[in-house]
Amino acid sequence: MTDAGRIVLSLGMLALSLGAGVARADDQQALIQRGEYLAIAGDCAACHTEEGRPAFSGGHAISSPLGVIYSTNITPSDSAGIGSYSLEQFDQALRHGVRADGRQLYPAMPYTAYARMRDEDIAALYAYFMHGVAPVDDAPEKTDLPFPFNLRFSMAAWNGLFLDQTPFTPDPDKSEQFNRGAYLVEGLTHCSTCHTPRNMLMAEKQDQALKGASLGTWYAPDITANPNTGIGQWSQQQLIEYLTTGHADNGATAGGPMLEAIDKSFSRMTPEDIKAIATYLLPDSPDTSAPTPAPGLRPIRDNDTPAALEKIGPGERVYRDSCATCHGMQGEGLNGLPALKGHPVLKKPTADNVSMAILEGVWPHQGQAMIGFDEELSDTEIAEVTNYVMHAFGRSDVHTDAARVAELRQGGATSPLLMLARVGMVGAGVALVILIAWSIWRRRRG
Amino acid sequence: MTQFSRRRVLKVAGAFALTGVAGQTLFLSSARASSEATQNTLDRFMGVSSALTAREDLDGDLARALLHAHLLTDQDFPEALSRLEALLKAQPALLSSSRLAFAEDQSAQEATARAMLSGWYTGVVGEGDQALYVSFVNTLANVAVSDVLVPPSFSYGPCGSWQAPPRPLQE
Amino acid sequence: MNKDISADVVVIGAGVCGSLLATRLARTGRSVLLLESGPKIRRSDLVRRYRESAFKSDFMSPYPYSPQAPQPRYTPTPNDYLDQAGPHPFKAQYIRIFGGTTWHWAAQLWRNVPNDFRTQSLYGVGRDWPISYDDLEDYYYQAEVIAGVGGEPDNGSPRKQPFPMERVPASWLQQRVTERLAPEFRVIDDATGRNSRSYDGRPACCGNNNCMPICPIDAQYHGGIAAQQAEDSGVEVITEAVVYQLEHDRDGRITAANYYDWDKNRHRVTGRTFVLAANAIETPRLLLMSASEQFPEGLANRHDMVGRHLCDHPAIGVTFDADEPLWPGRGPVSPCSIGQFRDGEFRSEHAPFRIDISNGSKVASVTKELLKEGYFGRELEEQVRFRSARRLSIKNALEQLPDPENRVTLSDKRDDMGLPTPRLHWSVGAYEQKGTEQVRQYYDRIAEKLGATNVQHSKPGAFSNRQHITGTLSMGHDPATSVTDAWGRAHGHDNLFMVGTGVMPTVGTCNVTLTAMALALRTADRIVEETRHD
Repeated sequence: MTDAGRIVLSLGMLALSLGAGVARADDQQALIQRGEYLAIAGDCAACHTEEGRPAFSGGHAISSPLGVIYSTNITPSDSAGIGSYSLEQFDQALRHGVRADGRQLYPAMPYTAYARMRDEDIAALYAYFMHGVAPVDDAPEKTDLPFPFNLRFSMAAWNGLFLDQTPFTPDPDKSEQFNRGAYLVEGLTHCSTCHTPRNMLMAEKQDQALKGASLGTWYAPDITANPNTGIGQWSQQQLIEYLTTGHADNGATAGGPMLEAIDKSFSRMTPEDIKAIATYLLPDSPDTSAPTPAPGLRPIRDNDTPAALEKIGPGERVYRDSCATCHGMQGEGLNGLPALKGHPVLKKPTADNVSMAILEGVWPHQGQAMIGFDEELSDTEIAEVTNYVMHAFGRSDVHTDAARVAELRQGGATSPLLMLARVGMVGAGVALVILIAWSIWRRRRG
Repeated sequence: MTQFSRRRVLKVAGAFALTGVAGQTLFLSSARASSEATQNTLDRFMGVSSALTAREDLDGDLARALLHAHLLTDQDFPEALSRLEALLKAQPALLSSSRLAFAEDQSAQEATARAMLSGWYTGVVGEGDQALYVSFVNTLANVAVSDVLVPPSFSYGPCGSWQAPPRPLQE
Repeated sequence: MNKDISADVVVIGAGVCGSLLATRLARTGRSVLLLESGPKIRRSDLVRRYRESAFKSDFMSPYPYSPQAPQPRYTPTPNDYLDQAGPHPFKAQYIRIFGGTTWHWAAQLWRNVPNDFRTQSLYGVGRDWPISYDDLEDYYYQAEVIAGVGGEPDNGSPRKQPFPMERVPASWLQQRVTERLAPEFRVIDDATGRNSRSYDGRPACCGNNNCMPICPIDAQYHGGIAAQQAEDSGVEVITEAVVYQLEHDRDGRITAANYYDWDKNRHRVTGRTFVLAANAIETPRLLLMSASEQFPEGLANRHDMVGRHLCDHPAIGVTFDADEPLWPGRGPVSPCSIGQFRDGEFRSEHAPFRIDISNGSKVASVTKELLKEGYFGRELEEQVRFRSARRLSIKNALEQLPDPENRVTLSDKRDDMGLPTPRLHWSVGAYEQKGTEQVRQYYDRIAEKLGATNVQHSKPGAFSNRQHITGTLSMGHDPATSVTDAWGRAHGHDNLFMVGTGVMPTVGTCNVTLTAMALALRTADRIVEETRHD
């Protein structure tokens, strides 16, 4: 017998003798792994992992006009994290918005969506956060908002109004795949947090689920299957490609918070889950669409004679000097760099995403980025080039102006909260509710 | 020390609206362009240009702009054009060799031919202080290679796309 | 005269070196004032001016010219800002603008090889530096991180840390040339501050093939980025401020800098520490213009060393048509080079050199050539394609020995501000000529290996400038033979420092910016240390 054979044999015997214990350990390991996957799908890291700090140790700052809200440490540290949480306490936080010490969470934490999750997924997440994440004893900076905004108890009232605690129930008339998609979209991947418009108290309007909402700066578009306002003209394959890579062959390219969600979460989910999401969001769309030929090198042509240049408007001037380099003279795109002509972003009811992409750039984790022009171009220039792109390449009537670009540059319109608090129209409790809700609104801005 | 930027400004101030300095774009007034470049001259310019470039698909906007630039840099351009046109009509064999090699007494016509070809291929008309920008992306030089290269300052493609062998576009 | 402005540190010149130093000092809480003779410009304006220029082959043409802060110009007509007094013209090119000359460059960020710092001891030629490669290694790395440098690690300059940037993928041309020249010639990736991935808020290179005169997407690091960063770090910036004189006290300490704004109003700024970062020609000019009763030969010039030892890489070039289509113009313009002749015992006999292979589009230059040759019609079009596909252009970076007779002085001419313009005396000696002969032979060998036709060498006896201007503010231990000490401090003026390529005693065989950046960071740290208790 060779040495190698001997080793195999003895390992086999060892495995037999330890069988039961190994199985338990394997189960636990599988549970932790599943929890890790769920944490990716739930994009916990988006808020709880700050760049340059250990995973899930919190400290991600969400600025508000009333002070900075910091995400918490959710590592299994007893002192700084959630190491002392029981499964039940963990569940209370995740699905009901209540911390172990009984205080209410701000719903910047999307527990209204997580409320739809199943018990076994909560258990898997718990196993992961207790055993799959390294404890970090550093406490992030505490959120310290001034009175009355530091009162958390009135969240209970808000929860009474807006927290639907019914867990997800599958629709027996639909396929398993559809139901899996519904479970993910409504729960774990919390799409509605950004894509569903909110009411006066900043709760999601259930009758307008996923019909599009502004995050203050970026606009989270209608992702219903409506062929006119939504994504009904996409094939499922296009949506799958988009969620996996950040772009699709219908010309769509992700930017801002959606690109972040794709990079950190969707692109790391299983093909089956992404297919399930596409099935749920686009139940009637074809699986695939006619393949678009790969864009090759196309000649750069345009009238650039002095007489022509003399006549172009200010928006086109900016376009030629700053954008045509990569997107082509007529927005046709260059050799794999995105076309603007026919780009889905130009069909939105607002031009904000065009202006935001120009201001901030587009920064995928992998692959070619677009530089931002916030230092290079003025508000007026960005408004002019936004309008030029919307009109010339999207045939859209939607336009923007320098004031709106200035607002976007500052991080969005001033929250209604400030005004309400100043004029004392409502009590502190309501103001708090609005602040909290507003912080949800803010958190996805990127 | 030569203050060429100012000298240029003074020299061209009457004729052009000037943007930039020192070798920058001289914008030609479009109103002036239309009045000076009569249709007749333009037609003759196109005809001779087609013969010189062996192309029937020359761009009309570019032709108009080139003609205008020739008129601005050379007062006698219409006459020079006529003389070249007449010569080519009389001696069509001049364009059957592979290089321009007119007889010594036709050197003026050859110079006109070279200036016109240079305009089409480089997008610049005139030389030195008199050089005028007319076009960049539409120059025949850039058009000739547009299946393999983009004009400098335009992106070739995402990072690394240039690793692959250059292959003419499959139509 | 306007009201005095004062700062802890006054930096003159907002190029990459002055800006890096200003940023570092501002981040320690010091008040820093950065004076720049030129204006601010925007990338997009430069892109427009490039595309609409009639002189695209002149990389200066997109850059605005101002008589108040003149810079050397050569097209369409030389402006004779530099008075050429030597046997060889020194056609310096620099940009007086917020961000400086590295607005247009190929982002070549090379380290010297260790032996470049002691050629006198090792080979009996040139000058030893007062510092060694090891003194600079850490600063080299800091500068590389700032700029995002990547390249071939095994390039003769040992590194403790890997390059902070992954290599930019090689163009087809580079792949083919590398393969066909091996093993006789080893073609390697250049060390460049060019992104192959998103880095520091800037995207990866998209192959605009326009590194010079302007990268439209900021995929390469440049002085404009450094200068903006200085301003964002709290440095007070005054542009269009033409410093014409430094004032000093009886001990030789600098007390103030006087400048003209562009309307020629005088202003005076005071400070505790002064740093000159106005390039290797303009800084000597300012020192010489600041002559006073106590220092009649100019500041830091007691031993008549200011402006001497003017060096560049005197270059020759070759172009030819290879026997296969390589299509230069796809990807960045200067991606690769041959580095095996940069060091060796032969340095005691002749100049060492690097051979640089261009990947810049040749469409414009071959078109001009073909028009000149009289091509027309279909044949012209076909030849444009043929030659554009095969044209290879090569030049070199050859070390010039520092010679005290090669120097910057003041001319009798005045610019629009009434300030004397620089006069340059430059010659290329036997050591360089001998090295150049070697280069020429290698050029022929390279051409042969690539099946070349239409081989055209640059004019024998003529040298072009690479704009790697060094030596004029040489650092050294001995005030009798140098201008600055090992920290870039002026001999005889305790609070006056100099940064930029001028402080480099020798020019080596690579582009000089990274060494100057590293030295500037080192000088910044020294100033922080010395003024800690101020």
